[in-house]
Parts: sequence; structure tokens; C-alpha cells
Amino acid sequence: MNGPRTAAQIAGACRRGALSPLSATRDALRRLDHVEGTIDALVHVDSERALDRAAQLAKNGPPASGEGLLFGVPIAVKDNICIEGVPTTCGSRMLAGYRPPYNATVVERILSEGGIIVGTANMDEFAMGSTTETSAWKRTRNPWSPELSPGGSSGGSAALVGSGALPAALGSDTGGSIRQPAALCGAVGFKPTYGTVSRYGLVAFGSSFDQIGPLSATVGDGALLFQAIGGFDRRDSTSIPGFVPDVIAGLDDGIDTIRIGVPRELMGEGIDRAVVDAVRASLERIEKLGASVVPIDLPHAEYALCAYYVAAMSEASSNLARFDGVRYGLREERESMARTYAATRNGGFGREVKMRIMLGTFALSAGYFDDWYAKALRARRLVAADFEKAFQEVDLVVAPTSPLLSIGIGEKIDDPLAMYHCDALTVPASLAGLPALSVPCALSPSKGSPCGRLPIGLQIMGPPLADALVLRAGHAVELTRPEKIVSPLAKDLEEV
Amino acid sequence: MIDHKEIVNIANLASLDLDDEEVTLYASRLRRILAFFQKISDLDDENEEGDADRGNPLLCKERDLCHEGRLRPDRIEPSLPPGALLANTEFSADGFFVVKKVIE
Repeated sequence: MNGPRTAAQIAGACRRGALSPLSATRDALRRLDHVEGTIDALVHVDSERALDRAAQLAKNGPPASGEGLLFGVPIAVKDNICIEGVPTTCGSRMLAGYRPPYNATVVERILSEGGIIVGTANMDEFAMGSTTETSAWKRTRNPWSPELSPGGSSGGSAALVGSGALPAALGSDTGGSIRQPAALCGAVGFKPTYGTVSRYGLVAFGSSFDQIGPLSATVGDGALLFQAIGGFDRRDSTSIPGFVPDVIAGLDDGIDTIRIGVPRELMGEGIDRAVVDAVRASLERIEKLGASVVPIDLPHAEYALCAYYVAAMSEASSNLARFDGVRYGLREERESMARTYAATRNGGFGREVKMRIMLGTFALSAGYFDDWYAKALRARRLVAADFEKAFQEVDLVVAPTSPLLSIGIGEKIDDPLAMYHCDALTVPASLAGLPALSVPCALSPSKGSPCGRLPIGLQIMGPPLADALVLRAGHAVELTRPEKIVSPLAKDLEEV
Repeated sequence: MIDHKEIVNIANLASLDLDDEEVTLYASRLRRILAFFQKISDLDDENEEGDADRGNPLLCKERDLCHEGRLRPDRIEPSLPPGALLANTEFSADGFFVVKKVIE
């Protein structure tokens, strides 16, 4: 079927009256129905609710000029973002059946811009994982090959976009959970500057890292979604006062005067050769547009992975203390409250979540705090300082997003350390709270992969609040790609 | 470095009721992970002044992104209705969450 495909096209067509929100929603539901059996990406779909909302939007007609950024656009939301009355489970048995009594700020903003939420997307349990396999509900599969993981933790959102079923979805990124699955599924994934998108209504994992952001088929749609959901929110104490996103107007301004730094530490050991080659080739194309590319150093990057995991697990152990069976979710009733808490938590949490809670509890406990948690925070500060220094010389930093070209289903699930290494290239920006975008830059060579050619993600990081520049550079990467990056499933969908 | 007794102690602190099989599994995995994390103890941070909170954007005051006055005055504001908040548990009565008696 040929018609508006990107979120911007759908919203534009719906605002002009050339497309009805109802048709756009019916089309999205049909597409979801077609791909879900292959990718298993959805936790909850409420077709009736989505169609009712679309019918209401169609009845009310297009909004006044300048409003309705997402008018008629079907969107999925990661299963850890609260939608009033809709099951929100964080991929965990602990929250089976939980229906939030309120909307997250990002959900309110999507609705106020005319967006239509069609379902919730699968994820690693409480966003703890890099393959979406720790979900209590299902194993999501990669739209490029069902034998591959979509990455994680926002693997459901990435697979839905990569499959061509939806133009965009929301994810959350703590140490790379938007960018890494976007890279593996051939989607665009954007983690905005920490504090630019409200975390109100996002179930907390690591509060000083967590950031909601868009996954989309194009950089333009990523910018559109960020424009819609970003901005100050008094209900999030870490929201940046006065911040208003302004990322769409300058998207086409080009990057001819931009200086790009490429950290030696993020381009070498442990990274798939095909990934490094694709990123270098993309940088050469960008140079032809007038950008300058220079090598830089991030001397403390080698500590980033350890610092991230110690700090994030510590925050997780504290944040997840709220799941005690008293107010919501699972409750395993025992003879005392202490026994009830322990039995509930042991029954409700999966293996990886329990392990991270244990590690975080250890790092925060008396006698170990200074050696682990405090040390991790100092390392965090040093990684952030490396970036601050780098940004005195360059405007942006570029590296691969994922060190691996692909991850087989089941390949890493029993090896936590191997799983953590999947995040090696995304955690530095998370530690420093920087805006970071993954944009598909090429397909892998046909040789060497039993699963065929696979998408490769290039990561662009900028100084705090340089979100517009990061997206602008991502758009330039997109425009200089030598070929289209469309998954077999998405191609198949176009013929339905 | 970390033995079974310590795993049981951490599980108690974390309110997790692990069985013997889980204790064995977590002991082995935690040992391996902590051995890798040990790398941060090599970090030369002697010149890093001040407290560890500087690394945490939730707490730091130097970064441009962090502003003073994040805490609002302690005033009662409209909130969600109690009925909506109690709707996610079957253990409620008379507008309260019901738990076992904690103080004997």
C-alpha cells in the first residue's frame, strides 16, 4: 500500500483532511496484526480504545494551525510508561494486571498533540537487559531475522518501528535502551539531554540516568516526537526549568561547519569490524558535506561500563524497594509483613532483576559504599569531564552504537557480563546526561552473516542541550546513506 | 570474596526470599560480576576533589543543567482520588491499604 508512511506525513495528511485519523489507525492495526506473529513485540493492544479515539479526532476535525503535531499518528509506548487505565507491567510478573490511575506527562503530551496510542511495547523486565529476553511475557524478535534479538531494553518499540508496522514509538534509555535496539532493528533512536523530557509516569529504574525518547523510521520523525513530548514539567524535579524543544526548523541546515570528534576508545577493541568500517565510511561521506572529522580521546571511557552498572544497580535497588505487594501488583501473603514482602518480591521479580537488586544493595551497604558506589560516582564525574573537555574542541562526538552487528536469541541470556558489554558504547553518554542519537548508517556486507545483510547504527553525541544539533547531524547521515535501509518484514508489509 | 553467608545477608537487606539453588547461582554470578567491576578500584581519582555526589546529576550543583530551588514549598495540592489509588489492590478497606499487624 502506498500512502503517508512517516509520522510527519500522516499528521500532515490528517491535518489537511487528505487522510482520516480513523483510516490511519485502522491501517496501523492491520499492519500490527500482520507482523506481530513474527516479532512478538506487543504486550497490550487495545484496538477498540484506539479506534474510539481516532473516531473522536476525526469527528472534531483537524486542530487550529500550529497545533496537532501528531494528529492522527498511531504510536506505541514502552510498557514502563503509565497510561491511565491501560495495563502497564514493565515486562514483569510483579506488575501483572496493574492499571495506572494517571497518565505519564509524555502520554498527556502525545494525546494533546492528537497522537493515537495503539498499544504497549515489550521490554526487558524493568528495563534491565539488552535483548528484551528478560521480559516475563515473551521474547521479541528482530524484524531483520526472527533468529536475532531486537536488542533492548526497548526491543518491542524498536521491532515495531523496524518492521514498518508503526512510524514511531516511545522507549526509555538508562544505559542505551533506546539507541542499542534502534541500531539492531534499523530504526532511529534518540535519547535526549537528561532533564528535557519529563520522567513523570515513567516507572523508575536508575533515576539519574532514565530518559524517555522516541524510536522512529526517520530522524525527522524522531525530532517531531521529541518536539511533542519534550519541555519543562514541574512534576519531575529533574526537569530543566524553562526548557522548550526547538528541533524541527533547523533539521535541514546541514553540517558544513561542524567539527566531529571520534574517540579512539570507542572505535577499537571488541567492536565488530563491519560496524567500525560502516561508521568510518559514513564519516567520510559526512566530511564531503564540509564537516571536519578529528580523532579525540576520552581517557576515562574504560571505566564507564563499571561505573554505569554499579551506579545504575544501586539506584535500581532503591527504586525497586517500592514493590512490596502492599499498594499494587503481586502480593504473596505470608504470616508476617516481612515474610510477605520477601515472598512477594522473590515471586514477582525475574532472575536478572533480583541479581541487579542484590548487586545494588551490596554496593550501598555499610562497609562497601565508599569502595563501590562512591567510587562509581567519581568515575562518572571523570567521564563527564572527558566529554566537557572534548566539547571545547569539537561540536559533536561520533561512535558506533552497538559493538555487535547482531545478537542471537538466547546467545547472551545466561551470561550477564557478556550482556552488559552490549552497552559499552552507549553508557558514556548516559553517565554524562548527554543527548545521543543512533541513526542507521549502512547495511552490513552480505558476506559473513547467516542472517543476511543487517543494519548498522551510528551514534552521535552532543553537549548538554545540543539536541537540535545532534538531530541535524543525524539527518545529514540519513541523507548520505548509499542505500535504503528497510527490513525484509517492512518490505513484505508494503506488498500486503 | 563474596560467600553464601554474605549472599543471604544481602538478600535479607533487599527483602528477597531466595531458595538454596538461587543462593548458589547468585553467589557464583555476583563473584564474577564483582571481579569485573573491581576495575573501578584502579581509578586514579586522587585529584578529584569534593564528594562523590558531584557525579550525580540529581544532586550536583555545578552543572548548568542543575538548578537551585528544585523543591517546591510543602503545600497540599490536588492529587489523585483515594479510590483510584486503592483500585490496584484487593487488600483495602475503608479507604486504607490493609496489611498484617506489624507492631505486636
